[in-house]
Amino acid sequence: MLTLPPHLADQLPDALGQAQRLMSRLTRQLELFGYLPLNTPLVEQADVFLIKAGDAAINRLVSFELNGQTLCLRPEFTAPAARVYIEHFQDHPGPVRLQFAGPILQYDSLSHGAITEQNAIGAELINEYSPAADAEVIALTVRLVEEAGISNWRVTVGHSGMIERFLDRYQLNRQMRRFVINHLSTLRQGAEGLAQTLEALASLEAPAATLTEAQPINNHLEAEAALYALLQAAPQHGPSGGRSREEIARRLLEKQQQGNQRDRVRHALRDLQQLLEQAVSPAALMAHLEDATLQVMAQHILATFSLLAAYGIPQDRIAFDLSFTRNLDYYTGLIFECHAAHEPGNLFGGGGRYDELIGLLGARHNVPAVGFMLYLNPLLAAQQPAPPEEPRDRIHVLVRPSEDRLIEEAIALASALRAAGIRVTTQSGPDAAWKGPHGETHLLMVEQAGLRLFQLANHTDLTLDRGDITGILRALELCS
Amino acid sequence: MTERVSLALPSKGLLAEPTLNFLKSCDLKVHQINPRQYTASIPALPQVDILFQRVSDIVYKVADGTIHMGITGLDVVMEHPSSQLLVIHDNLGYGFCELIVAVPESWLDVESMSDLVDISLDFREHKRRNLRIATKFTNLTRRFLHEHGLQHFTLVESEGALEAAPTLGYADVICDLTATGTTLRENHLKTLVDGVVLKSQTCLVANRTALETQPVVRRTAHILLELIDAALQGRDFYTVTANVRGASAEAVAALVAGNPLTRGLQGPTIAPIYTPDSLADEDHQWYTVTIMIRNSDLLATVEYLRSIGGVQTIVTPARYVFLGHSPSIERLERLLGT
Repeated sequence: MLTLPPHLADQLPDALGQAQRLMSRLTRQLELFGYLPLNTPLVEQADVFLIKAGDAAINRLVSFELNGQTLCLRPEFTAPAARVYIEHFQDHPGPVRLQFAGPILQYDSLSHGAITEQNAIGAELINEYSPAADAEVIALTVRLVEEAGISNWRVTVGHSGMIERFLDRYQLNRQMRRFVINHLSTLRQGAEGLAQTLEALASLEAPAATLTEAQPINNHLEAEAALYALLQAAPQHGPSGGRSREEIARRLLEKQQQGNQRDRVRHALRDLQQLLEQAVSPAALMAHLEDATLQVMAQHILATFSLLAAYGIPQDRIAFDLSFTRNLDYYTGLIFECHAAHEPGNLFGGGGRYDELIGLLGARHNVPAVGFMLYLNPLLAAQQPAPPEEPRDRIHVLVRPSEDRLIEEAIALASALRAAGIRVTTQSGPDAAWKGPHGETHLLMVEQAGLRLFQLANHTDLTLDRGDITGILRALELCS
Repeated sequence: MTERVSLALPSKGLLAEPTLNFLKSCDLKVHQINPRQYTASIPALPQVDILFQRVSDIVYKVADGTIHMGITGLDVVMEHPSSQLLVIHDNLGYGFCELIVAVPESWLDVESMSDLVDISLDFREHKRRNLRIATKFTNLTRRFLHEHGLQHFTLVESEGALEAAPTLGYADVICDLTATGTTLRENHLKTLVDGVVLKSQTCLVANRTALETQPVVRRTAHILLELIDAALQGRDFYTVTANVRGASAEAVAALVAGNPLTRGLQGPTIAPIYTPDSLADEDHQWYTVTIMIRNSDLLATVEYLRSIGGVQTIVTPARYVFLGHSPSIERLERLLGT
């Protein structure tokens, strides 16, 4: 028997019904905030996601080659939203609010090779840079979580841009910068975390020996001379692999001068660990910053927090954590996640500010944006059982001709009943299960919640004039 | 239920001829009436039908159960993994090669994968395009690059002379098989210190369901593994016999077993030689010593035997060495959970 690949699941009628009801309530909430619904294809060019995703996110991207193009399955909505904005809304003046819902697919992070599918809902507020926009998106996330019936939520807030800006002054290369960012959560554990991180740094492979001994280069002239010498030494033949000899020589020179990267990383790690220890709240963070840009960023966080109060979000439900990161490189500012209280692993969703992504994807100029996405499954887990349907909605009529020659009449009757808003299934051919209690065959039977309650008389007793179903409806009202 | 077992062998390429030779060395000579035919038989295994296929087709067809077993390259197996495809012997000892990442020699600044990661980011930022990598092994390559943190690349899927891709300009670097590295050097490419994606050689594969449900397939796999294990073991050993003079069999045994070189797998076999002299002189009998030694120990062994008075040392290669059990059969049974 052919079965589904592991980790994928069918959505059976009851679960689907519940998911759809929840989804429509959430969608409605987003509409109340002015977010326009739209749909993007499940398959996109992989580059849309690759251009600014983090390592972990890229490893989970389900990509494949087709006709020379690398395509992938949608793992989230933000990158497609950025593409949609460029293609359809770029000329729209002012902020654009979009909402997305549907399945997202990626490789399972635990068992390599297995694909997981989840339903998610997200919203993006594009072309507005303000604490108000950030507060709106966080408040909206909370509103949706509460709409799903969850009251014990918490929000953790961090800031990608601050960490990046903080690391700028240490002049780390990309690899080292990535190392520091990947170890933020370890660093947050105080002196012990710092020791662990330094140990991890020591175990990183030592930089490969370079071709020539690095001589310290003290000024521009010396750099040019070294570059010239390298250019002379570089092979003149063979493929270039798309790089000029000068590019290669310049990078080689840079590499030679980077010998002291490790000291810089150690320095950065120590300073960062201290800052993380001090930054228990946006206000505390503010007090410990000297850099003007960092202060502006902290001010933005403070302003956002005070606006959240206006949305009725209690301050004790929001935790500030500068070491908090998300697996996506496109975030440039405030980032956040909403999860169950005392259960950070029970993640409902999250989001953040991404002011560069839309520009990188090809917009005419940089467009600031902020957005979030919520996973449906953890929200569904909090759902109460479906409310009882209206009595009339529960009626499910089975129209079944007792003889083949009556099938046309049966179809006409079914159509008339559907026009009256009644759920009807037609079934032809003999089926013992639908025989009456005395083995008699009927044209019409009525079910209620799976239980047959009422049987209409044999078709010969019915008025089957097309369109005239008043007698039947009366009978149905009686049984409901 | 079928009583026939299909075994696919490489029809052409670097593995074709060596595979026939390998089977012959295991006393499983393939009988092919006409070299143009795509079928053959192994007289020693009458239940087996030999089918000649391309190495990649062998992997697909064994995975989908069209063919029960096959001999193919580990590289192709790893590129197309399947839960139905079991590698039941991964060390047939020939067809060695490596799947490696190679960059132009002129990239003096690139020595490791972390350099390549940096270059890929440079390409993105300054050239506004992805690093292009030509390969036949898209799955293995993609996984390897991701494992090394290289995310921004485009795979150029290509068959044939990949080494030319950077020169022709349709790729910047390549990920390809190499046995000696000569072709790479001739095309001005170099490998990276940590750029080995996979070390490959020839392997024996089988369909899991066929092994589980068809006794004849399981039986045939056992016969193949038993012969392969014994033949591969046999390659490492010589049987050495020498005539040594001594007071008694025990005295000769003590001399021979006294040296770890000549102790043999278990211990020496000592047998008296009945010469006319030995009947007259009871104190100086001749004995034949038989031991198994590792190939690499041959000359040292001969020297030692001489030193204890050994003459007429005869060395014969061990055709098979059957151990107490076949390690490959044990492994197979573990894989099948039995």
